[in-house]
Amino acid sequence: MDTHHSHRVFAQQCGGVSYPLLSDFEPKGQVAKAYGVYNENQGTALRSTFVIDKNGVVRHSKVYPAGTIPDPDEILAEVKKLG
Amino acid sequence: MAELQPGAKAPDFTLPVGRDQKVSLNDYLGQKNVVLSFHVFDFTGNEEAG
Repeated sequence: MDTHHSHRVFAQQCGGVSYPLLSDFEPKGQVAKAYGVYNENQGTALRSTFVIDKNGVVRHSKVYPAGTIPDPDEILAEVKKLG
Repeated sequence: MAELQPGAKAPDFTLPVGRDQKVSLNDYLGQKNVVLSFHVFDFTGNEEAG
């Protein structure tokens, strides 16, 4: 699926930094709910991205329509703003 | 329900990576900026931090 490719590209653009792949399954969707992106009807998370700074504050958030791929450049630009 | 907006405190979480490891958002506090990405694989909700 496209998500594998988009995240591999994104990781490469971050300088090849590997990232942990987490499972938000037990309890199901708990973290997605905490971030306001859990779709109760479907039991899935909305496709979304959050940029969180070193103080633990959300600095950027975006929800993407189903079937779209987050733009890595947009996320990188947000991260670079943080320094 | 709306997603968390900039300025909101990011809720801490601890989730498993594979079978043996766990990762918490607080592991990165004071050290790294974090990108948290939600996307759906099959019928589970997955996240990545990096």
